[in-house]
Amino acid sequence: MVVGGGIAGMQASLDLADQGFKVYLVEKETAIGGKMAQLDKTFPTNDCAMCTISPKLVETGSHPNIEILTNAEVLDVSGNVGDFTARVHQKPRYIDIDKCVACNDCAEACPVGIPNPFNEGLNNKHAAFKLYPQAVPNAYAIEKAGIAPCRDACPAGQRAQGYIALIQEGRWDDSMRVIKMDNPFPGICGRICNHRCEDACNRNKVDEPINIRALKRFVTDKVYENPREPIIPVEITNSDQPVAIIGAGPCGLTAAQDIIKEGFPVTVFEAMPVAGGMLRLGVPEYRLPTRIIEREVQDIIDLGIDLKLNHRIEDLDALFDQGFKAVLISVGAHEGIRLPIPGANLDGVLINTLFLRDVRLGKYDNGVESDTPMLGERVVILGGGNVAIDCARTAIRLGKEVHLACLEDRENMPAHDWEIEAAIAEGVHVYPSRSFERILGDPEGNVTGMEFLVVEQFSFDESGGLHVEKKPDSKHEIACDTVIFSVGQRAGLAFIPDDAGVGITRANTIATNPNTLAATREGVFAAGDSVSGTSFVIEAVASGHTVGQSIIRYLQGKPLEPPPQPELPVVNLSDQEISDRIARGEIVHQSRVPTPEVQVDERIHNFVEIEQAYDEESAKKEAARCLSCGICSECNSCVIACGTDAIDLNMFAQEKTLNIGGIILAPGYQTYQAELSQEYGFGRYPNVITSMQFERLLSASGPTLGHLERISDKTFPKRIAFLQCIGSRDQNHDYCSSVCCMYATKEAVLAKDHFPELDLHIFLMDMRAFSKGYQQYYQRAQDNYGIHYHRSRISGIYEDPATHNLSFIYADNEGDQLERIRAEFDLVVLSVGMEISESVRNLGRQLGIELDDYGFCHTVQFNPIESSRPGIYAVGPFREPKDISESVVEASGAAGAIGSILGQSRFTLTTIKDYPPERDVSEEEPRVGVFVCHCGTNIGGYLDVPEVTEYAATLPHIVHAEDNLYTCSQDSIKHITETVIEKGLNRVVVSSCSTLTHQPLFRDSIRMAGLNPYLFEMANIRNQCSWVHSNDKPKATAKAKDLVRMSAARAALLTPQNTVNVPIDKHGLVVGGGAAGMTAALTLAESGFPVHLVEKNPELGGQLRHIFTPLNGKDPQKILNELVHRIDSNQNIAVHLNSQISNTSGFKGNFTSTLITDHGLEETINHGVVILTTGGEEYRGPEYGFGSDPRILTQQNFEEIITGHQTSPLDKDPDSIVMILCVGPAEKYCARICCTVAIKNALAIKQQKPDTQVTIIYKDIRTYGFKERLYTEAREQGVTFIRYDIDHKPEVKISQPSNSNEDSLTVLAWDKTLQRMVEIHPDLVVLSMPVIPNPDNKNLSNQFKVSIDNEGFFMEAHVKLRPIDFATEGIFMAGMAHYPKFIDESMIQAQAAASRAFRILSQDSLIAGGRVAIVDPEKCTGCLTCVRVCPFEVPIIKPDLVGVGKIMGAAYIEPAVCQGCGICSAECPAKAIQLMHFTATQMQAKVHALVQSEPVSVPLLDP
Amino acid sequence: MTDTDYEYQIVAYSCTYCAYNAADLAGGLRMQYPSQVKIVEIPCTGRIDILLPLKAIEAGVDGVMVAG
Repeated sequence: MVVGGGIAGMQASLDLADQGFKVYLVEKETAIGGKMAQLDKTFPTNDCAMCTISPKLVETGSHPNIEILTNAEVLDVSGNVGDFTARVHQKPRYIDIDKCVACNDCAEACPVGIPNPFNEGLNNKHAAFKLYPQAVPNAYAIEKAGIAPCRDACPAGQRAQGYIALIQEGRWDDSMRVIKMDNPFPGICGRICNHRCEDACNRNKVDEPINIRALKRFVTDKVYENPREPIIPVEITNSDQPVAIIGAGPCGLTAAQDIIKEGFPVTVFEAMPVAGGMLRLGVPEYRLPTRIIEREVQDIIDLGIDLKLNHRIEDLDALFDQGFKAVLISVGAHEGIRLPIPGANLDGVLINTLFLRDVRLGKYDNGVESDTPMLGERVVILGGGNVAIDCARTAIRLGKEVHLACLEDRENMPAHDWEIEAAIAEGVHVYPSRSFERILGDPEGNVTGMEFLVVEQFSFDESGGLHVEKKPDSKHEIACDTVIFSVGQRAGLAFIPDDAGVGITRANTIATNPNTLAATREGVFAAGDSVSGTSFVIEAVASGHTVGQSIIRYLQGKPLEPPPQPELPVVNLSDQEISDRIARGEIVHQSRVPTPEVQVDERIHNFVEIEQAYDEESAKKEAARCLSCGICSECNSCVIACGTDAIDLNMFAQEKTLNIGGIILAPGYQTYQAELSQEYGFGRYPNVITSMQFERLLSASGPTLGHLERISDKTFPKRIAFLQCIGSRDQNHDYCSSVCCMYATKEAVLAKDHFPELDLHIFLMDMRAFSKGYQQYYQRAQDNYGIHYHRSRISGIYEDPATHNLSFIYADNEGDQLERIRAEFDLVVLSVGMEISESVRNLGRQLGIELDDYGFCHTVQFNPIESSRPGIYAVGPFREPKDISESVVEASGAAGAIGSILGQSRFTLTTIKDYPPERDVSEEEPRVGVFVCHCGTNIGGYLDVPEVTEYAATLPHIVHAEDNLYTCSQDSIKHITETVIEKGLNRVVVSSCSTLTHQPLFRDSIRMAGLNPYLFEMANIRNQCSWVHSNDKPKATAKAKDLVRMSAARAALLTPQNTVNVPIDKHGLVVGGGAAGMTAALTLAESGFPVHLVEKNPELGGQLRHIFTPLNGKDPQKILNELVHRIDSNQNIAVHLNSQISNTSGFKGNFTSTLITDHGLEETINHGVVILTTGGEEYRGPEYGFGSDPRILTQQNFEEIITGHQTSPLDKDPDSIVMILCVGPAEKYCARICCTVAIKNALAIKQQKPDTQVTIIYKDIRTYGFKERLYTEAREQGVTFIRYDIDHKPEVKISQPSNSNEDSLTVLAWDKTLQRMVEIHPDLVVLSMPVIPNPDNKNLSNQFKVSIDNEGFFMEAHVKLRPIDFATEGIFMAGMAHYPKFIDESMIQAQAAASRAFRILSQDSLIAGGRVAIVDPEKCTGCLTCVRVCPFEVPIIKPDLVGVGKIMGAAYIEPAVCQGCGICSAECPAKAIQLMHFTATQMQAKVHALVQSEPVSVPLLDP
Repeated sequence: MTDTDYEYQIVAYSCTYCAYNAADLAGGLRMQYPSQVKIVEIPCTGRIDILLPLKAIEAGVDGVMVAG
């Protein structure tokens, strides 16, 4: 199991899988690639990061032995090495990876926009997304954080975030669709909902909640502007199971809709002459216009519901007698309550519900009050709830003087505050804290007034009884002629006889099971206000849904209780999360957009709707305030858009148990969160960005397509500063992040490459360019690109608020004087360091491995990549900050270590696919089938696919042409196989997307039909046609025809390419017996492969024999002894001492070498691989007087002296020592280890004798990674550091002072900080002589046909991604022969070399052939051109081959190692070499087909 | 480059590892370019024998681009 799918994880997986292990690659993101995929380019070669990683991505994704688990995290691991059990938690992707064809339709449909972490928040991505264009697995995913609080708070689960997001995009109809998924009454709820969603809204924690209700109102108005589309009635499939619903209110109608949609007939009985219940009869017109209710009710009725108006149900049993199988009682609570106070029955006393109903039924229209009770001129409303307010405001509109009195005080009135305010504004007199004493009447029985007392306080006792404390002597009257009771409502349940079996509660509601809403009688259900008492419309809707589902389950004979489902968490953002998002600039304060209202004087004389809707602009602006809390809003837009039915928003998390032998942890790093260093203003100042953001800005596929622009104003930044060590080498991080100096330099170089006018400055402490080629890169950055480096650490940044320019003060000591300079920049890039994330620390804890205080993984002594738990390896920055190439080395190293311990179990779990035998097509005429893909709308939307298909059918040799919606979907792949068999096709062309992603899949499909996979050709009509000509359908169609014609022409000429198996010799050869060589030999041998270890010296050990002072607590000599002991006791290793290689021939898997001993004895050995570990040695040059005085030593001498392995040139302990760094060749390349070794030895001497004066004169201190701690310790111990530059080198003099007769040493150095010459008289001068390559390397490079670089070190195939391989296959390197490095680094690289070797040795044979170059010896003149041009050193001249003119000697290209680039075939002057599958004829056929729309005949064979 | 009535044709020989890959990415980013450019995938720009572009011109294409 490999944890982490970054470059290290991929490399480890590939190495293990190639060795024959089954690999589970566990990645927490939705795709592998890690941080490297985010980079624009890599140093020091400036290669495009994506171009180099992309082939690895594809290889990892398609490797049969690698199973990638995305969205997955390891929970824990039990067991021991060889037999671990890991539990892995896999979050749902919500998209079936097997069905997804990565067409992008879901992302296009998704309305949700959230900051795109891949682009470091510089742009947005959708909730349905692919991590990046080249992502592997090539499939989309949906990000869901949980349930948005708005949805959670809504009784009906209204997915508010979804429709708000759609409003932002102006998709009104979609928005309406989303509302209707949960709520059939959008226009109604958009007006009168009590919107608990807004109370729950996370935006409350920022400023004000989103005005969700007003947005809903807006969108319904927008949609209802259009004429109503007719509703198509539902097909009734269960006609024998009719359902009766009593009451056509919101609850009953919601249930009716849900039930009829399942195919059950529904009859709704309504006592009133109109449907809509309380909505229609209880809510005043000025709040809810009738047309809205009628439209939304009609939308439900038209589904096919039988609505019986004016039909009061008198008898429940009668309904069952009529054949109804279920009855729903949803009669609402329409009966008002008349308090039993004196005068309650006088004329002029009205009841709220009846009053409002009469008004809505038009009985008060035109002042005609017909048969309804009279409404006087002065009205008193009794009650303080929302209905009371409705009554009051309705009476105002009828032109009355209105008074409203209630028991509660003003603050505690049950009505919404804004309703009370609006009522007061309209002229209602409100009297809170009143007790209703009696209604006064005249002798005729008419109301004349109302008597009150003032209430001081009141309470209810346990049994509901009211206790009122009234103020004495507060009796007063309000004269009036009408009193309206508005003190509560209840259901009218008279139609339910006592013996009907339906229980009624004490509160006069129907008793039900709260989960199912089933009443006590079977088949009877009850919901809405008749169960709950009065509530809001959204609760009625929710209740309707619940009961609807219960009735459906009842009728289907299922258990009434719904099956339990795992619930998603509610996303309640914490204050911390909110403030973090504000700090990062993701949330900006913005109050609610106000809704327009009709003014008081315009509204109090009519029933015109008071609140007006948003206009489009305001609605979008308000919608844009949404924080998209749930991320996926479950709006289902993607589900509708997906053409392959791949999306399932109800997927659940899974737990997997894996049985594994070994574990490699490559979880990577996170960049330091720059907002924590507030002095730099990241998050506050828009033009302060992180280095990773800058990387994305530079990237051609980044948010600006590679255009450099400032965040604040999108202008081009001319002056840019890079600040180093942000989150490294500070009080909170005692380590160096190792990569920042180089990546800042790279970013500066690339920026300058694109935009030469840039003025770039890097502010740093030490330039840490310590690896191969880095120093030279740094030099070029200064010399060729004019990038300015300043040795100054910046302590804070100031922003000019007007221009958003940034300034800071720095100390400049590059000139003759130390100056404080204030500089202004357009853009500041913070070079952020590496940290271990909290989740990775958790992983470490779960796995029980030791981590340090920063979360980095501890490794064990003598095994630098093994964690404290045996069998679990840690690689990459998880172990220590490091760059890509070292991470790759470690990844291979861990794969080598596992290969070594689990060698026996190779190929036990891998699978081999069963193919039918290949059909011989050589005698057949070409019969080509063409499959043209629509890719949903990705091709079909921009060009005419059927036309292209028809055209394809007319081309020569085409015997079958068809178009498919998705040619790569599983069923289409199967269909291609079947079609090839059925139609006897012998060539196939697929016109779809890219060969890079899809060719292997299609090749496999024809191979399954018995065709050679090389009889396949692809036309890229998506990425290279429909998408790039999306504005011009005719031209895109024409080009697609051209591309298909070209491919078809080539296809006809394709020939099968046969592959052959070449057996492999299982021996390894390791040249060089130092730490690296011994480790490599042991790793191979312990895995069971026999090894020849060749050492030219009489004993093993190499440079390790000269290292004595421990580093990181490891004793070098102990390591040496252990290695030698293991070598001696391993029977698989044949050690050849005093021996060298005199001759080598052969190729990967089949080498033959001759060894020669010092005595001239020769021995010939066969081997499959070579590992070169020939080491390096300490430079010994004359610089700084070396050789002229025994007191001038090398660092190696010095180490031997202080550890007692050599005698000191002094007869006393030294009092003062000067060390000089970067001697001789180290002025040109950095020898990587010298700084650390010097400091290590300085500390050793300080430990022996603390008052020794130690001065280190240096250019840059390059203590990368944790070695920084040694540097800090040395400064604490009093070691003096003096920096010099190459123009002011220190001088070492030997002179005789006048007061002594002994020579003394003098060192003169220019101290830049003091700005003066410093003179030191040390007892010893220690020179850090760099490691130089073994002089044998040159010889070996000739023998093995491998390259060396300018310095004489071996040259790797690719500095970043193939740091162990030579360009020549089958030969690998490790240790200081590659570059100077520490012992543990050499040992890791040696394990890595073994791992690369395992990939070959573990196979029984090599598969050769396919796209390879073939020489026709009869045309070959043996001119050596191919031998010289091949970058992989493959062609050789074989003397026994007969060449042109029967002359002996012709070129031979071994197919097992040919890389298929075709350079030789292009360069061969005699045209004797052909690149198979890309022959001249095949390639020219395409061009001919392009220019001649009519097919031309081309010869089938190359001339 | 501008579109004219004349239907010129340009063949862009593109290395599968970089230029062809980049052309795919350009598609992903919906960058627009003239439809007369036809990309032909090659294993490596090293495969481009001088005869290939010359023969293409001879056959009648108006321009050859080698990208890698």
